[in-house]
Amino acid sequence: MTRSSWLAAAFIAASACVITPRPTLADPVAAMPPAPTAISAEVIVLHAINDSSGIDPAIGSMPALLKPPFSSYNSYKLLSRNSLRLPRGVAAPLKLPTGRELHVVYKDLVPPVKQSSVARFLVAASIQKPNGKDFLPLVEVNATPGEWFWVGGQEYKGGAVFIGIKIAP
Amino acid sequence: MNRPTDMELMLFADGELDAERAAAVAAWVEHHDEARSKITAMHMLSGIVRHEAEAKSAGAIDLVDAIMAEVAKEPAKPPKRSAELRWPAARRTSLPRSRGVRAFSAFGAAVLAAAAALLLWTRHEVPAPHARAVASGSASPAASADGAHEHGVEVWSVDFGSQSGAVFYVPSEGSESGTTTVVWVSEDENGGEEDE
Repeated sequence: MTRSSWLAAAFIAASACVITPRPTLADPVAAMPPAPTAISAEVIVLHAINDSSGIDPAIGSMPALLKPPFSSYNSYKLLSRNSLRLPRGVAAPLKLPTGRELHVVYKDLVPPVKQSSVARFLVAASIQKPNGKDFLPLVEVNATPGEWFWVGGQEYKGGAVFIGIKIAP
Repeated sequence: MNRPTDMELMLFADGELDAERAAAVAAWVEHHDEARSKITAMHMLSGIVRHEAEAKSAGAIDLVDAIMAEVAKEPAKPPKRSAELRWPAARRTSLPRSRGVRAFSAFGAAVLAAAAALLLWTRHEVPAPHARAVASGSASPAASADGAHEHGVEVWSVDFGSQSGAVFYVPSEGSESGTTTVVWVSEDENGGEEDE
């Protein structure tokens, strides 16, 4: 191969490197889809109590209820099951049996922590008392769709209320 | 024997393992400080929540005091580095700070049932945000704080206001991520009476 051939080959190779689109690597933020304008969430409200009545079949399969800290109560009853539409940045209210009000806000789409993970949603929840004061001013989570998270501890009829929130997949 | 999984440690702590496996796990725990610490933390935290559940029928209880009482029972060993609360800066700055006298305080707790690790509480008299580890038998995986394990739902920031509370990452077979996140808010002394 002559010197000019080598130079030509090198030029072609370098051009190919520049022109050929590279496979998408590593940057989960760049690969993220735009945040949806609205998502939906399932919210269930459970009454936890120690009256040995067991777990309400209406709750469905929920193995976590048998583990601490849920297992501090031996019985769970389904008080309500709700579907909330969460437009981005708008608080969706839900009246609780305690008389307080839960507010859930979808705030943003969050890049996945690992490349293999799915994008998550930044969601905030708060609970207001009927007099307008905060009971729980704010909890912000980044949630994988399909995974429950729980807010528990409000006293209710000799037991406590557990609120389960799951972003729809 | 094989190293027991966190789930097995939890079942062992709950007395739910079969006799053969329980004996094997007991032998492992006997010789491994980390496993022993996890078991201690599991007993401690489940005891606290159970205590509060029982107290609800008899009257209010301060969760923070209960935690501190449990912590005080533990041997005063300095926590290992890995057990300390290492809150990423982004999260720390995302905590609400404009609540004046309702200063926010956070303290890390080593582990609940194998995964977890983070306890937070608020008290009026605490002047400024701070974080420290709880000496619950020292070592813990502090998985969530390390970022080693990705929980299905991560608590990004929390403001318990005038209430006290805690965040648990509970091992869960029913969850794809293997943990369920629970934010526990304790009712104040007046229960719901102050609501009106």
